[in-house]
Amino acid sequence: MLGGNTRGKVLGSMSSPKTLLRVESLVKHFPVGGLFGPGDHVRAVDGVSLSLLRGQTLALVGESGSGKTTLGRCIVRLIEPTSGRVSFDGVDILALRGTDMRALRRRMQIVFQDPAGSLNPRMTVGTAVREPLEVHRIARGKDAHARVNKLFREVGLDPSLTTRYPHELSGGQKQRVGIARALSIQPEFIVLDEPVSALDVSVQAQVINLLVDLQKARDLTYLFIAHDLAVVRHIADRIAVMYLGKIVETADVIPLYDRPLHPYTVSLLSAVPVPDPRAQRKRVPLRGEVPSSRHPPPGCPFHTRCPHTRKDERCSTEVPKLQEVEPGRWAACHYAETPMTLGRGA
Amino acid sequence: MTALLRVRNLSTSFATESGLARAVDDVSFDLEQGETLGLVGESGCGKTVTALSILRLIAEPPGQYGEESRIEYEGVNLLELSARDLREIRGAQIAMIFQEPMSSLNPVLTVGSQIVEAIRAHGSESRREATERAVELLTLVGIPEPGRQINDYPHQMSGGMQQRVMIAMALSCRPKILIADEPTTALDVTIQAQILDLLMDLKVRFGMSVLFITHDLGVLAGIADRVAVMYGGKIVEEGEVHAIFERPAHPYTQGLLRAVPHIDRPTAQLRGIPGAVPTATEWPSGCRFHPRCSQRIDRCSTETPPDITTETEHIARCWVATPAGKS
Amino acid sequence: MTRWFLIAGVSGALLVAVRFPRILELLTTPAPGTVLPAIGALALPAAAFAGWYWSRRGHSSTQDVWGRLIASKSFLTGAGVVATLGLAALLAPVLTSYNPNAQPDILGAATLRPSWAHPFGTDFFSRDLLSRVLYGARWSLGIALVAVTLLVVVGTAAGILAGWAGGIVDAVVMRIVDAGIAIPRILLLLVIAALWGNLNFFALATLLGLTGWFGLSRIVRAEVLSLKQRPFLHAARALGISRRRMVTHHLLPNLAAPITVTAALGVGNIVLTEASLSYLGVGAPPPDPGWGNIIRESTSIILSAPWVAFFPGVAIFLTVVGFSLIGDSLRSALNPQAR
Repeated sequence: MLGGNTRGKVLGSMSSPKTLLRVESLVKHFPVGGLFGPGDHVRAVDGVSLSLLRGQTLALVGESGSGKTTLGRCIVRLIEPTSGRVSFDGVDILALRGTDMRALRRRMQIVFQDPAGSLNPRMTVGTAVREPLEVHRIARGKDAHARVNKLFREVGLDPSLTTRYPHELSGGQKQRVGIARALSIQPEFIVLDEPVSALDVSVQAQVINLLVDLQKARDLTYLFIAHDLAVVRHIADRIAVMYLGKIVETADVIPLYDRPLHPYTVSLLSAVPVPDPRAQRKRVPLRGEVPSSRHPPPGCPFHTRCPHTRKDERCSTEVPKLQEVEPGRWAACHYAETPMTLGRGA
Repeated sequence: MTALLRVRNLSTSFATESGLARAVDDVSFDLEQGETLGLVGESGCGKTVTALSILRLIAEPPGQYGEESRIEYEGVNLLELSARDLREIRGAQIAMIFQEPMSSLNPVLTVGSQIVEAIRAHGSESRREATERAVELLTLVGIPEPGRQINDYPHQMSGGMQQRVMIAMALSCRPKILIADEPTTALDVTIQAQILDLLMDLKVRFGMSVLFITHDLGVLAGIADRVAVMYGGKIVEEGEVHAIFERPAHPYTQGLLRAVPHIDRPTAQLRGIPGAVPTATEWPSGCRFHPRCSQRIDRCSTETPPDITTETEHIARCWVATPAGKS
Repeated sequence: MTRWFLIAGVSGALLVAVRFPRILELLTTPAPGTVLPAIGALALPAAAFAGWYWSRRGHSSTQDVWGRLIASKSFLTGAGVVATLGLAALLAPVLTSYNPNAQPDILGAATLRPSWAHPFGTDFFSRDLLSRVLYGARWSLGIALVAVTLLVVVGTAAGILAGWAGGIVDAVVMRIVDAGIAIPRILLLLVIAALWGNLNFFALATLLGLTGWFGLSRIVRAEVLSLKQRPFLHAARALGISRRRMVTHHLLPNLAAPITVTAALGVGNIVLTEASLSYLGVGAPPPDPGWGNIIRESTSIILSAPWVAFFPGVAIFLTVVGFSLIGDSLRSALNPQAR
């Protein structure tokens, strides 16, 4: 599952036949300020391009305000992007309307972070999983009932739970229901928006393992949105790191964790707590906080917090392009070729 | 040497519609001068109720402390103090910070006025002296331009800055004990790292003892001297941090450590613990972990396990833990 | 069970027959259209007992809304009061043998104290007060039901429209609501009544309904706005569920609690408003009775014959209390988390 190296690169100019999802220069600006205020915008997603191969897991990581959740929702069109292209299996989905879009909804799904909030509190969990089957005329009556039971078993839930309401289930069970509901219409691609962040550690591991097993069994493609880099390492093939609405680095899992090229990735990795008192890392301290996405800094968006020793004038004036530094490794840093080292304590 | 804070047989229960919830059940531990004790567990294990009980912040009713419960601070049982004497302790001797800085700060008052209020609650400073002290405190917790930000309202600050303000308020009376209830859970990792560094730095400078409550074993490994693992309202394992992380004796601690994703050990398969955390109204009989335990034996489901002192001199409450000298 | 049913039914029927001898009269000397109500009245206690028993069967648990409702004492009390009032209004011709508007002896029988012949006494014009209160219930409760149905439909629709559509639609609907709330309702109704002349039943009910939905629409809009942010609606959209189904299957069930509670409390409110309007001269056209105008006509004799104001007052009070109890118990029963 981790041998991502052979799966090819995420960013490439050529569209490979195996490419399932392609995002090009996606932009989402949210207007802020009242009716009479100045026309200001939050640049939640600011020109993102990525592509995803069939059967692969791409993790989108970043801190709050990085735009990762907005990007995920733009891809499944829960939010209309301001500009850019999203093509799914060769179809430009932003151009789809009405029934065509609804037909495409069957092929892409989303699982949300908050397992309690993403289920209708007045609907039994069985009905929640059954509803999409009936809406899309996949099954009805006894057949639908049998399918719901089968889905429940597939995600590790007892079918007797179908008559329960969401609040009667534990957090882990609710998230399994959310997964079963997403699987009900047999999608090929699932956006997993922080699917385990709200769960307890012992349950989080169960759900991660479930997601990995389902991917194998159903040949699913995942876009896994997360802030926890330790979790991501266990599930992703490839990683895209976001900062202030832009992708700053993307690479396969192993090289990215071993030798990150962008100073933001370096700091992010060094900040992850390690559950071993003897293996504490030397942190690469990040000064200050994420700037406002209403007024991102000029030049490199990260230069205000950057710990890189070579930081200079150029960083605060010229926006670094996301470029291929090594085969399959892309970074948006003027000094990506001389990366900082990831400090490790004794 | 007697501990600064001694918690003995603490039981805190709540009357709920579905019966009595024994959220904390017969918990005992010591907090020594200058140490950081980490209280770790999953949601519903009773760690936050333990923290709130120490300062008697549980509303009674529906909450209720057990008759045997004792919380001794410098030899005084806090559970027997009058409301007035308790106020002398709260904030001044034992301070607390919470998970959600935004909801712990009053949204309609400036952060400065809230710190000034905290200072003047226990001291005799004039408003002016208190304001000067507030600026000092804000500088201490690393707020840039404290003279200006003292006039900001909470919503004008980021989560990390709000938590710094909470820490400044907690330190305003130089408390001897700081109780930190998941202070970094709502923050991003890079900000979490900053706040943890700040807390540990201040702990040394002020000579405080810290009771650090968290669900995150990674955070704990970095800062704790000793660790107490809670499950089902009880402490199931307790000891020095290296002993707990390297030689966990309780199957729950072992399971928890196997379930945590490890950024340096990607190849290890994650193993969750089957089942879900039980609720406080329906604790399982015997050892409360037995329905989820892979090593259970017959007596686990009927008898409460004893305290076993292991080889690494820490305590595990488990029937199958190996006592020292028997392996 | 059967034995209890028979005992309850027979003893209930006997009680009704003794208290309301007119029923037997109607049965023995049948006139068209009176036999069925008479049999209905006799069977009423049995039917009530059967209904009560049936509703408990299979609902011993508190697993569903109905189970929780009938386990709630306040609902049973409220529903009992409301059902009694409603049935009394429906069965008025059976329960009393007096014509509510008849003035048998305006000198000799005026303002009689309550007695066996006139359980509620008589009014200034010698009319039987029990009959007037019973027939008045038809007017007052009828107006309330029609008006509340109207205000629930309009208020819910406006609230959903404003909250769901947002933007300009929201702004326009909410400004209308603000205007509606800002103008004193009684004054507005009086002006309309003055311009319109005499208002009949449906005109008055419609007016009360159309001026009463503003509060509900605000509640519904606020609820829709907060529901719109909930991930389960995003999830429904991502699953390709149509807008109409999202409103009917995901939004409305979550709005049921505020709507039904407002409706139940609204009935009491409308009865009171209608009574105050009657008091100001807009209401049931005299000599027909409505609870409001019975009280109005009692003002001149309130000290000498207080029962004339007392009984319709009690009826209004019971209606308001009954519906409030129903509203309250609905609020908790509709919440699946309240167990």
